[in-house]
Amino acid sequence: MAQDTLDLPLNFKFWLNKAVAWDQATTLESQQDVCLHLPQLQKFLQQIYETLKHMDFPMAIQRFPLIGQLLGRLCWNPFVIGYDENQKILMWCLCCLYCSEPQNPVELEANIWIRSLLCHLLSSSKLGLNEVGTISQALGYTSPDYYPKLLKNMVLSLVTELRVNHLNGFSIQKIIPDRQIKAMSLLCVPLLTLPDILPLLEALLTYHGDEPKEILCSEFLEGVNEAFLQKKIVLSESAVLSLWLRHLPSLEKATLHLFENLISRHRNFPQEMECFIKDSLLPHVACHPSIFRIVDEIFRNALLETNGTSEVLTIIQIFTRCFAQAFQKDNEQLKFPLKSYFPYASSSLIMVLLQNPKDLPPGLWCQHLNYISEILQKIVEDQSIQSCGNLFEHWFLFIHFGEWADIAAEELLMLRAESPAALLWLLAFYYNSCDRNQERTQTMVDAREAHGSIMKLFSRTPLSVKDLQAVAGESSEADTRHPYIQRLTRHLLLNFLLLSPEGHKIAQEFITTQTDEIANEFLNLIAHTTYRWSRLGIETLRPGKLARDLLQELQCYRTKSVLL
Amino acid sequence: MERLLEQLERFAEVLAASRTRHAGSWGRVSVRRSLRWARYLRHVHGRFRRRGPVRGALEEGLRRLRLRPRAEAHAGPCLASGPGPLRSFEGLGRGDELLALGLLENAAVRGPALHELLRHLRPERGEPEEDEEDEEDEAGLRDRLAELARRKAASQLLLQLLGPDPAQAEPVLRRTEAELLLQRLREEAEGEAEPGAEALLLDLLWVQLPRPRWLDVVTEALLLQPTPRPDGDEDEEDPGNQTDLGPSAAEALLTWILARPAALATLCRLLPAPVLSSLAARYPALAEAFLDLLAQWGGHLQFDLVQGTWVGTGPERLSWERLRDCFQCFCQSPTSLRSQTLRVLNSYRALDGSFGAPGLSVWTDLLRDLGEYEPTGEAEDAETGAEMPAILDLGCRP
Repeated sequence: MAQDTLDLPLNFKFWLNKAVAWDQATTLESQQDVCLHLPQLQKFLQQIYETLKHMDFPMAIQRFPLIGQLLGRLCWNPFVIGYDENQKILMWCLCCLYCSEPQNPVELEANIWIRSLLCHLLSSSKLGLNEVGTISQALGYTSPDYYPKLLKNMVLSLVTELRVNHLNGFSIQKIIPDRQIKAMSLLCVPLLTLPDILPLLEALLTYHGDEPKEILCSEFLEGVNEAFLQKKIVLSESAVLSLWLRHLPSLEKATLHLFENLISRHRNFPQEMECFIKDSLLPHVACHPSIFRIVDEIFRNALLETNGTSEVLTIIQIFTRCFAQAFQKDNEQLKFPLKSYFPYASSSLIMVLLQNPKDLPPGLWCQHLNYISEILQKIVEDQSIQSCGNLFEHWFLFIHFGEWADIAAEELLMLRAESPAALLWLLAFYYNSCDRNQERTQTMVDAREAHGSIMKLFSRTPLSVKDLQAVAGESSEADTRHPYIQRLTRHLLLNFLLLSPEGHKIAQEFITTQTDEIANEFLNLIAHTTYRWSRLGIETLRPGKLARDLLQELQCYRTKSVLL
Repeated sequence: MERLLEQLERFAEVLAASRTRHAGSWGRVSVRRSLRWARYLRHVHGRFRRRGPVRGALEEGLRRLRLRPRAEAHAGPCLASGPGPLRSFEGLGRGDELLALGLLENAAVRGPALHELLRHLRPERGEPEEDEEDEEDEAGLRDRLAELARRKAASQLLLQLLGPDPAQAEPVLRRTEAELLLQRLREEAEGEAEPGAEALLLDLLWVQLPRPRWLDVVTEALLLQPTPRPDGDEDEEDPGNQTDLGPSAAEALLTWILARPAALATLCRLLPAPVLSSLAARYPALAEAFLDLLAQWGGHLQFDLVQGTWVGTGPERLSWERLRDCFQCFCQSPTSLRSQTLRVLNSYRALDGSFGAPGLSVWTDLLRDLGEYEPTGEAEDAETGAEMPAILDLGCRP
């Protein structure tokens, strides 16, 4: 950018001063300073290279008289060279400056200096010890053979020391004092994305000292988290668990990162979302209650801030499903009590909600739903514990397991419920956790009415779009019903369209008459429903193929209308 | 195939020459051409990595190259020991790196040639003559060199962590060198060159390295435990794969040591006793050789009546303490080494006449010192004696 190139001389001075300062001090603070500035340094070096690549030596010296000093000092700083692509860019700069036909002593000197710098970067040199290179040279090996092995052995040695240190735990003599461990973590910061270092990273992450306070430096923890989220490194689950348990900002960042990724995608299919969520490792590490609680807190805030939009609800539901899977599969590990995950809710409710519908025969779902409804109603209507917050908590708990609400809607239309009232109550509660008795009574009336009119549609043949619109309340000018009742109605209506043969025929026609927002709502509902059917293995009992075809047709239609 | 082998030969020559003063005559064109050959051979390496007839033929070609007498100004024996020459199939995969480094480090290479090399080491080269494919390969070379620089910097950083004292880094360095030695031996073994090749290499090392250094590396190489690799698949990029190194490479080293009395003597004389014992415990052939040698030396000890101790008189000047330390460690070993040692000691004691008095036989005194002395006649029962009390017990029970 033009502005950046204008700033280049100023920046140059800044970075040269930095390079000098870093050279002279080897304290923890100066090392931390280097690590802090590494990303910007890389950007700056990139700019320098972009400028240099069109120049030859005389021009370069004219433009940047002190370029030699800067490059030289940076090349001798292993923190700088070890980071990401710094070494590459510095090498490129040096190659640019080399003169093919030196015209004067200065250029000759420069050539020699460039060559020696490159050799310093790439060849075996004395590592501060005597005769290091002798054996490898005698064997006929050079630096490409030597350094990878050396690095591997160094990492191995450090990892072993860390493990032994760990085991020695409470003994008096520790091989590595805590201060040194902090220094170790800082030294790893520039090297995070180097694959050879991975064992050391994991050993550090799973290392715990005697003191309750954190011994690893925060730059390290943040850096590892960032690299992990950007998929630049692949960590084992135990390392990730350790990281997120010991460094709260990392966990929060990871959750927000997941959230942003899921919400920013335009077409979100439940299967893809589930994959994404599982990949993030969050559901699995959430089996640890502290992690679950923090993630749940973030969900709660998101829900409140967005006034309960369906995207957030969906994310919460898919996450909870993945979590429940992980929780129930983890047989070897100690299981924490359910209350530690949902402290504000009653355990009996949690247990019934946690029940996986897949483990129950479809015929018993109704019964189970009745049971859920019973418990919830009792809690909600119990005057003694009624408080705004408490009601919200129970609703919040319920929406985690929104799958049951979907099943309730379906069961209502399949006429298997002996007492549709209980299921209707559940569905109504799902859409509106009102806390005033009159409002709830009114809601139930509206819900019963909506249910009734939809059930009547079953017997109406031929079915027309107008009939559907009447039920959805669109024929009248002003639909005075609350939005949540409208949503409830649409939910039931969609189930009707999917489950009744008459409904199939006009489903597409009806949906395309809706507004974009409502059409999207329907689309999402269909996607979730078909996915649920395939997950629960009931596709043969439901019109799975028809639903999928409908979904596809609608998507095509939507894409076309968006493009036009 | 013929052409391929020819190119292999020529590139090997080029690579060897890149580190000599002959490279001083190279110009831009030569550098460009040699880089191109390196790229081509890297392709070949990539294509024929899976062991097959082509790879076999290439390895055969390389073998023949090594055996050819070097007419060039290549100082040293005909064993191509200097860095650079292609020795193995794996070397083809990094021919371009080796070439680049060779030219860079070679002071004889002149300005224009080096300029050409450096031109290839940065992305925009200003002369769009090469096609896209080459660009990708060049990027590969750049990336690999950058990774090398990164790894070197990483080693420098981590070196600080191993400890403030430089000596604390020694074990890591020794281990690395030992791994390189074993890798080199494996390369020779795989190449199925003349059987003397490994021996020549080891002879060279024996001559070139200072004794303590040689001791460290060889001991480390013999005692090296294979590191467990997390992934089980064969990684050809890392020819020093530990799981492959194990028996065959160390065998060559072992054979060489057993055939060189001087080396054996050095080990016996200079290695710390516990280390010597570990070596003996691990390699029975070495145990036998050590015991023989130690026994031989022990025979040269004479009892000094004035001082009341055993003194070394032989050319090795082996001290009593040293002998005792070695045997002590051998006896403390949990394996069959212990019984083997005792057997040897007792047999030598018997040869001396099995006298019980001190000062008459070095073996008796040794056994006494080690606490293993059994007066004659009971020595053989010592093993079965342990069983006796049990039988007696049974007999005594009412």
